[in-house]
Amino acid sequence: MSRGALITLTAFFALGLGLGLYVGWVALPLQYTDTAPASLRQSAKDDALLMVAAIYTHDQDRLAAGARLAELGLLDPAAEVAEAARRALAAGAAEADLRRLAALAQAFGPLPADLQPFAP
Amino acid sequence: MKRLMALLGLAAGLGLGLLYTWVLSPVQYVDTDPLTLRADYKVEWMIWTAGAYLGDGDLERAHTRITALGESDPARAVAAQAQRLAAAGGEPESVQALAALAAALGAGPAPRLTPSEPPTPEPTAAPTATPEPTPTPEPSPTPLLLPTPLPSPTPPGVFSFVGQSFACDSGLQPPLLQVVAQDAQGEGVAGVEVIVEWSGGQDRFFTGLKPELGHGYGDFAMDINVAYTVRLASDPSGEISVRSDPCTDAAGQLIATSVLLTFQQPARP
Repeated sequence: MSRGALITLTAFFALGLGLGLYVGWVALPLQYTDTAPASLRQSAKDDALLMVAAIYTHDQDRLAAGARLAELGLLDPAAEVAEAARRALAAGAAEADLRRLAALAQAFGPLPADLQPFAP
Repeated sequence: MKRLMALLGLAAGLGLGLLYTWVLSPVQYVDTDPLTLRADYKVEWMIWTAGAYLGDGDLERAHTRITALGESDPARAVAAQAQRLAAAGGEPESVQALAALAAALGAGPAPRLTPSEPPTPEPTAAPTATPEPTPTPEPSPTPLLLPTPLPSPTPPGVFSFVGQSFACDSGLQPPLLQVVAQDAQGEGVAGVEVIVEWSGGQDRFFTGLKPELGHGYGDFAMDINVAYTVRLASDPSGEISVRSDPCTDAAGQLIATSVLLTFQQPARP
């Protein structure tokens, strides 16, 4: 193979690779339209946690709340709900929401000391 | 030769690029929106929203949550979901929560739906047959009743039967059994379960699933000349017998009578 042909091959390979990366990541990336709750962005997941907490406040059904938290991909409900409560606290959430989250966290384990003021 | 090398290089590069981006390292959607949720999870999200609304009473938040699913008309979307769930025999608590949310969204400022009072059948054209309840149910072949089959949920309160009226209206065909549930102030109450029985069959429906007709409104398509027993799930003893008899409307056309039953919660002292 001549040097010129090799340069052409390399140049067009690089061009093709660049085009492939552009198409695959930018122009036509894989589309995820059927996602699961566990893949939700943090803010949406936190909102979902608030929903679970509000439902739990209403029906006091720990089993159902656990199933909902599992759908959100929470492996350690008590810790992760407590963490969500801290994020809500930092974001200036309403006290009622914090209390609901605290109640939900407490349903799955001891409430951390920093969240005790919101204990039900 | 040079052209061949160019083509080969381009194809190899493109192929490798796509292999890397689509297979080896595809775009990871880890921060998705509720809008991209799978259809069944969207239903779940809607039910959670309705349940949370019962818990926190925050209608604006519920509205935002439903619109996050890409629903441009939340009230209608929630009502439709309630009906689908009811028809599929879903959990009565979920149906009631959805019905209550649909009714509330229908009344809120954000949705486009403008709820109105339930259509009151005009009692002007009297039915030709007896307007009084028929105590003895008649045997009937196969009733062609339409609405939602459901298990029984917990009723939201005690209601008293206030009265019934009849309409011989060609606009209400097939004849409807219409139910309006009101609180002590006359406001419609959504999520009230109504049980309809006839010889050889039973069906249930909820008020509030048609928020555009009023929060406390629910209806059921009747068969002509079939005797029905109607009661609220909250009051097993309060049975009311109704039937749709033939009648002649204002235009002289022979049609069937629709019946409107009104229930109201007693005023609290």
